[in-house]
Amino acid sequence: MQATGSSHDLALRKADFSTLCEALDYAAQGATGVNFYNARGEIYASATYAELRDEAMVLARRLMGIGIERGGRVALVAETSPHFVRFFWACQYAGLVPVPLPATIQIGGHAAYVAQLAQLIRNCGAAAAMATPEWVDFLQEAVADMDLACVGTPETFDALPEAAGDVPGVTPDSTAYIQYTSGSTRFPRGVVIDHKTVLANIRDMAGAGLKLREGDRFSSWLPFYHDMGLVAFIIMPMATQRSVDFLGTHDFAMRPRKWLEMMSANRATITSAPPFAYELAVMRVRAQDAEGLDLSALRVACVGAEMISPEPLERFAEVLAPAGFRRSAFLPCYGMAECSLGISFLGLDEEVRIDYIDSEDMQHDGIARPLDPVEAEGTGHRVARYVDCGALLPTFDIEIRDDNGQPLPERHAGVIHLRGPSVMSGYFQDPEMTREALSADGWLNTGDIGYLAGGRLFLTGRKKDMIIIHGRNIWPQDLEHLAKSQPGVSYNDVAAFSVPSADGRHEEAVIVVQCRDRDEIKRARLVKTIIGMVRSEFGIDCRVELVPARTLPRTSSGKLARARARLDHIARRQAAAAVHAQPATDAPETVDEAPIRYIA
Amino acid sequence: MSTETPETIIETLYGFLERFPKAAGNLGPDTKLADDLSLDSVNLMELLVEIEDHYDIGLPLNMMGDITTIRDLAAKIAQLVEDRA
Repeated sequence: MQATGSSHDLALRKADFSTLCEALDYAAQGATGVNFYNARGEIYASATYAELRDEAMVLARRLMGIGIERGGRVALVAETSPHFVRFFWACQYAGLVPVPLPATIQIGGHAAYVAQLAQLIRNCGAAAAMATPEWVDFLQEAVADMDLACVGTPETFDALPEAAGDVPGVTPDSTAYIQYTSGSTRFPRGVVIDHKTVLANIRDMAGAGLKLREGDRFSSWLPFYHDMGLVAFIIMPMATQRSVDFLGTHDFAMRPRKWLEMMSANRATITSAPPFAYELAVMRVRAQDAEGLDLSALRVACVGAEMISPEPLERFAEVLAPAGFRRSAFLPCYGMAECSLGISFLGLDEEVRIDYIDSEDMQHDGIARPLDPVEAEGTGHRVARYVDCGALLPTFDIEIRDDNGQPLPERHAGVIHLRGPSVMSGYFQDPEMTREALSADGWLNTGDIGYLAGGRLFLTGRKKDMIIIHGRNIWPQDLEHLAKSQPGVSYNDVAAFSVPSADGRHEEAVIVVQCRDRDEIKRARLVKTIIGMVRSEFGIDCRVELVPARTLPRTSSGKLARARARLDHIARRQAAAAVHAQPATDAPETVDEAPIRYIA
Repeated sequence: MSTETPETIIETLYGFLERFPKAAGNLGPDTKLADDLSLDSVNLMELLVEIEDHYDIGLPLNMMGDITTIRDLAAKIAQLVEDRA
């Protein structure tokens, strides 16, 4: 099987369409398309946009025959497969709204996964649901007590009769998709993105952000249920008539080298991943392997989605330099599903840049006062470092606001507020959450904290409590819910949050539990049970700290003060470490390993 | 052809698992991979790659939801080896 080519005669149009259907109609006039690679790195499916459009049109007529009202939701278990892409575009032509659902399961996590699917399907009120044969049993189990018009595999849908007449199509204001922003099983938030909204964001990203050009080729292993996987690698390549190569997420996780091989073989020019993926890839690549790879065509390697330090990127660049990888290809970016995807990008061919600032000034006054890290050494000033996430994409307005909602000047950290045509219309059927995030005049409260300096955005923290591990968003309420389900743990006894790991390079989840039991065996069992539950539901390791009753701080209205609980926990850990520590003989640390993060 | 049984597979798995810190002296057929051995997702991927390469099988992600113990994993591998033969 032959992959679709990177170049064709069709003139490059950077998403200047009014709907995604119009964009696919145009892409179908060219020769580019989508390509899928298996665990052995072999291509197993390929379709030009012309073929994809024809197939989507047939499927759209079959979907119409089910009798779902216009704007009805179709849940798609988003395994990396050609079926997902076909169904996604078929929904658009049929005037239906695709809702990607996670296709990942933890060890021993059968029940938790089924519960998650059921919750999301209920939340979006799906009228139909599709999963490939590998996942359909979980889907059937999830919808067992629901009444959907059609549930099954692609084969089930392909056996439906085609409806007669024209496909209804869409308008710029139609909903293009609903994106669930976290794996939260109990507090799902479905970001609603319209056709005009996602196209506005892609124009920004393809234009000012990536400066797409003839011959560009995308390459990704990111999950299709992740905003970056969906928008940057399914929708953007189509809306800019570029070819894209996909590797399954699980296949990447097992053999990260396959990602590099796929990019090498097809001379990919654009990829994107969270920082841990670059770290994982370089762990599995030996120096001699690099010589067999050719990454010289790769001009953009976006980095986003979680907190990182620059060191793993340095290592990746070093190990893959013999393969022609250039470190200037790294492109830190900031984004979120609520803004379709992209918000700010570092300039092309700029090297990753770090702002060194006075850590005390930042902590006390939120002021980012620049320091020379070399000069600061020996003066007792602690240095914090933040990564330059680049300039805002052109259509965004930004305000950095203080706690009273007042705009702050340059180099003052505050909550990032954004406005522009890429911002969501709201959370699906959740007016309360929508009001909290979006003001009447269109400003989105991102919940992220940062500052501006010379027109560049620097992220310093998060106001909202979301925990991000390996690029996945995890809501503390979900972790707290698991702990509260244990006997003897009451509603008020739990706080979950994340802290930087001991080496400062990752975040780790912490659950503090107030425990009245003095029996050491029971206490140890409680800790082990909670850790096990979190692992089977979320696939992450967490730390559980048992504390006496009335340790957790509350607000005056009796609500859990999670941010203070976190600071208290860090203080307890530091105190414990000080007691156990050997007398320090090394020079005092000058670089504070405080969060350095890129987000997307 | 193959003479693999769940019992021989369990023995092989012990060999693969030994290098994980919590596995030392802690391995039995009913050992829970996640809860007892604290395998995180990176460890788990390494283990799966070793198993795939050793038995020349593909381990689909969707089976992981029903595997808790070493015995569960061995039974699944035995079935996949048989299907392949």
